[in-house]
Amino acid sequence: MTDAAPVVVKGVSLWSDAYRRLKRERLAVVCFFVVVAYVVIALMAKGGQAVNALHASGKVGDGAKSFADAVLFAGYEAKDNEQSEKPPSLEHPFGTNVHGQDVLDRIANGAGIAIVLGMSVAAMAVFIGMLLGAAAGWFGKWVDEAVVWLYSTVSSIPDVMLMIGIAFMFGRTFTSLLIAMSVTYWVGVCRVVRGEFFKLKERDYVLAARALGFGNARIMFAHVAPNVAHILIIMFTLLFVEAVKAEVVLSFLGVGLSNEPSWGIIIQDAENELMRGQWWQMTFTSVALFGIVLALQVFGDALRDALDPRLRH
Amino acid sequence: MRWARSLAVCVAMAATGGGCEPAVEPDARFVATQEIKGFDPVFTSDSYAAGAQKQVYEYLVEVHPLKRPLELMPLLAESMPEVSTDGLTYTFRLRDDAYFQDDPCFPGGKGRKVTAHDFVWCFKRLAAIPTSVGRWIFAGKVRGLDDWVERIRKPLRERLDTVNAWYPFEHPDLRPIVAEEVPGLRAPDDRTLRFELTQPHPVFTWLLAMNYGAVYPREAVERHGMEFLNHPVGCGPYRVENYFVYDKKVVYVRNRNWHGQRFPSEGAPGDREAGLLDDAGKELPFLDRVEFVVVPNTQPRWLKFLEGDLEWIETEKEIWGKAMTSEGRLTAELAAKGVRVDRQPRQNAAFTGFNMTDKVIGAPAGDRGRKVRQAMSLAFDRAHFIKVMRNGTWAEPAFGPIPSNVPGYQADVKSPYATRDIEKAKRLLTEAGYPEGRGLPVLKYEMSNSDAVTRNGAEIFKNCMADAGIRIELSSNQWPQFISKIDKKEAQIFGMSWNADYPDAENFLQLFYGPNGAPGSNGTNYSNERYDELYRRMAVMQPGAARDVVIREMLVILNEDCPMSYTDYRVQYCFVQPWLKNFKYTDLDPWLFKYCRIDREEKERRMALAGSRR
Amino acid sequence: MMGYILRRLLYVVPLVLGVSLVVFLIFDSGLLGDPALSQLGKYTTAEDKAQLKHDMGLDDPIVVRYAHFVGRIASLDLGRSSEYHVQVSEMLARGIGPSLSITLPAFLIATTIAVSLSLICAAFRGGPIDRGVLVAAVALMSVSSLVYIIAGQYLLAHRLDLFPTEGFSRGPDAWRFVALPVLIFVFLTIGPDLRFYRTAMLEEIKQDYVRTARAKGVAPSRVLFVHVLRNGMIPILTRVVVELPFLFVGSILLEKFFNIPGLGGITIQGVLSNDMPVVRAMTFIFAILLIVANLLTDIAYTIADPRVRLS
Repeated sequence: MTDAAPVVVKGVSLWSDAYRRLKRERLAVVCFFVVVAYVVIALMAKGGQAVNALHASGKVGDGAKSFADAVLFAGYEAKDNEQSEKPPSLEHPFGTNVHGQDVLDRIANGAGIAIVLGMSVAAMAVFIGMLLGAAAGWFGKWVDEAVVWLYSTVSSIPDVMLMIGIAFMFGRTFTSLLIAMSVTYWVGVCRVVRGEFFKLKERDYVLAARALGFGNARIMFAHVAPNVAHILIIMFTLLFVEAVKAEVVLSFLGVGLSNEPSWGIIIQDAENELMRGQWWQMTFTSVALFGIVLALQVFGDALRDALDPRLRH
Repeated sequence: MRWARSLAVCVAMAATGGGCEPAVEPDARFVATQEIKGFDPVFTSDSYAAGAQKQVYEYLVEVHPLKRPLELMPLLAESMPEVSTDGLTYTFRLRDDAYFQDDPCFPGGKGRKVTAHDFVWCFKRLAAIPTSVGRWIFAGKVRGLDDWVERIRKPLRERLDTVNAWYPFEHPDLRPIVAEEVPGLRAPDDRTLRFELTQPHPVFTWLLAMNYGAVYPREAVERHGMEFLNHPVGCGPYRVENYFVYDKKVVYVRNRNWHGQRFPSEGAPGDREAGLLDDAGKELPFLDRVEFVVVPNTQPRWLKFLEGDLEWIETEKEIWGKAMTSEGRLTAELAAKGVRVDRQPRQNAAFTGFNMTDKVIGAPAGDRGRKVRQAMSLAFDRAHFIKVMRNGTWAEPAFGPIPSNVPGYQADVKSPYATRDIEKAKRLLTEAGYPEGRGLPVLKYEMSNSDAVTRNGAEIFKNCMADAGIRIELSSNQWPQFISKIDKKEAQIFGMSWNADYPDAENFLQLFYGPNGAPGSNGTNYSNERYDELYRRMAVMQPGAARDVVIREMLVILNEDCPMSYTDYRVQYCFVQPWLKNFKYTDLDPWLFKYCRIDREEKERRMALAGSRR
Repeated sequence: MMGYILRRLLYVVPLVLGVSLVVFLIFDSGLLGDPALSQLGKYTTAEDKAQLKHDMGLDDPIVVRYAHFVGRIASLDLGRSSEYHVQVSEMLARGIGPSLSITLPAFLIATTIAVSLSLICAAFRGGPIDRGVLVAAVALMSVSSLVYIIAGQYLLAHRLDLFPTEGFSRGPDAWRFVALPVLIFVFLTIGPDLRFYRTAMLEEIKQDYVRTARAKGVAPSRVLFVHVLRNGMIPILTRVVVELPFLFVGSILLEKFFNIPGLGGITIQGVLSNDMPVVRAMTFIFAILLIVANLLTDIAYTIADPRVRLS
């Protein structure tokens, strides 16, 4: 990293090149479709939630509700005291929980929360990191000092502690988790982007743009930014995984979500049930969590290999 | 220099791995489910800390271990106090043979005699320190004490150590003012202690049996200062050999200076048949070395009990299914081990509180608010709650704020809103202007904890409300945050339970007394002039028919105003190893080790049996 | 060199100020619970509360409170836990042992395995062994830490009875209690470690000197274990040093689940019970350790690679 490797000229060809490379990785393609499947389930569950809300306020009829229950995993709140803690069956393929709620519906809703949260956190963190990193790398001097101070500060506080503290402060809603995780995770992005900008601002095309009298903002975003885009995409997948994992731990510890069936909440319930010999919530939730994290990791790795030729071997 | 010393301590401790001590097997091991927060009675109010302290310290009176309903008996007092006819003067005569344990704080290290002056000093300390959690037991009750507290406050606060949040009551400069006589709290001689109250207080003696009523030598506080909480010096049956809060255990050894006591020879009906009086008249204690261990997680606690490591264990939702069959009998596994079930009603009431200052459901909403509260109380399915959360057995549904085994309970006054009736709930909602819940905002339910069990209970409430069209959003909290929300009157709806400090209806009725509003004990901020007036009247009345009339009127007002939805009264189920003798769960003092006996032969036999089966 | 180290050490000051500001803002917000109230018990009056707040300086303007906060750090007197009233320094002293007794062995085991496997991967890069190890590493990383802990406790400790379910001992039998947490910790850290070291080794193996050595006919195993490993030590050491502060803090989750009286458990308890002195001490110490570790890495870099100029 210390010696300046010969510059690979990156341009549009990078993307088509990467796409070609990615397509060749069979496993990565499979994983991509797994992630897509999760996203579809998540969107369906979110749709189901929306129908639930409309139904509660009387805007849609019972027909829409039963459709949502059947197809859109909207039955996650429907309790049935008689069906409490039943093992998997045809009616409830993943069994039921203590309130007789369908575990499959709950896990699907958990997927919705995990994916929406994971994507929002990754997007936020990448955005903040990109903005601050670019500013630091581009302007240098005191701007750089300030940004470096800021991220050194944040990274000097253990992640879990920072996240718990901030999640607490904002009342443990979806938004509070989003803020807590974004504030924690932007640091990595910022570091890398700052380094890249430092390097790139000495490049000929930048100097040329400057000579043409383009403003800072224009050069930064029109000329330099596209050259770090691949890094941002890689960071996005990495942070997506981190956020999904972190949500589970935080909710489990009782500092994440509390009103919705997130995976952390389901695992918290399931831990007690495991003691009573009820394995289904624990098993299916763990598998669901494992599936998306694994798929994202493998896909993320392939993406990195495809996009960042320096790391290729 | 202080930091240099603490740094040196750090290094030394780290090097030795925090001090390796050889493991000595104790005679018995009892379990607490949360950290034991030290031995200074002035700063600890939770039941585990109190349980840990009560082995070491002694009190004027104590709760009888067997008699039901709960009854007091003398401990450091020779007999129960002599109370004047106007109910204002309490005179205790102390026993002559009580000595403190040996400790370096005494000249020559030899424990000295316990005198009435020690009580006066300790009680003054309890009353004076602003951060004292037990101050309320004397505040406003003892003649002249509040004035004296007012006088000592200023010099005490001037000497506050802000770094350690410590008010140095033991400071030499304060000695003259500490020595000033308080008319209501005097020791005419070494063996006489006299309280004069400002008004009659029927439960006063009960307050002295709480952990705040401990006696300890001023020498210990003067020597150890802030570290007194790690170095208790008492006159009880045990002394602490080794303790630090994060060591997760307290090791007790027998205190050879203890005055001694005999096992009681009277008990409740049935105790003799249950073998609880087999040791009647025998010299206490039976155990020489006892450990009080902290195991916060339920599953490991249960496994340790099964392995014979713990002498008894409280039931919980998670372990019930492993211990009891659906018919309410012990499972074959436990029955084969000879485990015994001890069932005792508790002085505990669980409830869902409604914030009376809230704009939607509280007093500002007037009649509409009351109807919403009543509807919520009606929609709540207590039977289902007990079925799921208490395994259908270890609680009974609540119809009022006072648990059924507490003196002053009125069986004939039941809340008309404490039985599930969805139709009526919906009707009330409609009357309040929220037909089918339309127009009613989503209400926020604050949970007192963030564990799964607390949340499951709250989810039942949420689901029950959904049946009536009331939408609830759950919000989990850690305990300090929960308390803070209630104290700031920010909690809209909250789930909580109240453990009696003393077995009397008054302790539950004060939860609704207007002046006790947040941050006091009245978390719902209920305020009703008539109720407050009646409360003031009943608080000074002796238990009896006249008082019952007042209580009944108070209950009727409460039930109609519905500041809380009553949930249940807990019944304690304890699983007891066959070799643990004389154990009977005593709600206010469940962990007194001095009465417990371990039948060693039985234990060895059972353990050998379990070993061979494995 | 000395000037550089001195300057880096001075950088501690703005950093600690920054850390303290963040921690202060979070924990002073009052949204985590009122520190004054937790000390007063259930029968409190508003006057008592106000008085206590005044005494403790909690009603001062926010700037003054922050100044106090920083002053407490500067005095290096950690004070007492507001929850347990014991000296924070003593809590820390007793907590280091249990924390290290889990993280240190786990760290050594994980690093040894990860480095060895990374060398093997580098030797057979692109082959089935390399791919297999890599896939295994990713799979291990994909399991939630909660699942490791719950499954470990339930299956290995409870069902198979191989380990105690939880607890800790300061005596000679400590290893029994430590074994399972160590195992889980190894599983948790080995995936990312392995991937990192593998990349580092591959970077080295591409270098010219490796080609030269091979061309000169040096045995492949010798090239791998002597040349590559020695040069690969720089990234390995860097990572090791940066991970060290985390060892002191312990693993928060493991200590909570296994009821181990270590610093991680103390930290999370401190955060959850809004125990300001404990949180203050833990963040401060962690920040210092992290800064020192980063400094050591930089110095190690300059010694190992003179091309890196200190500026």
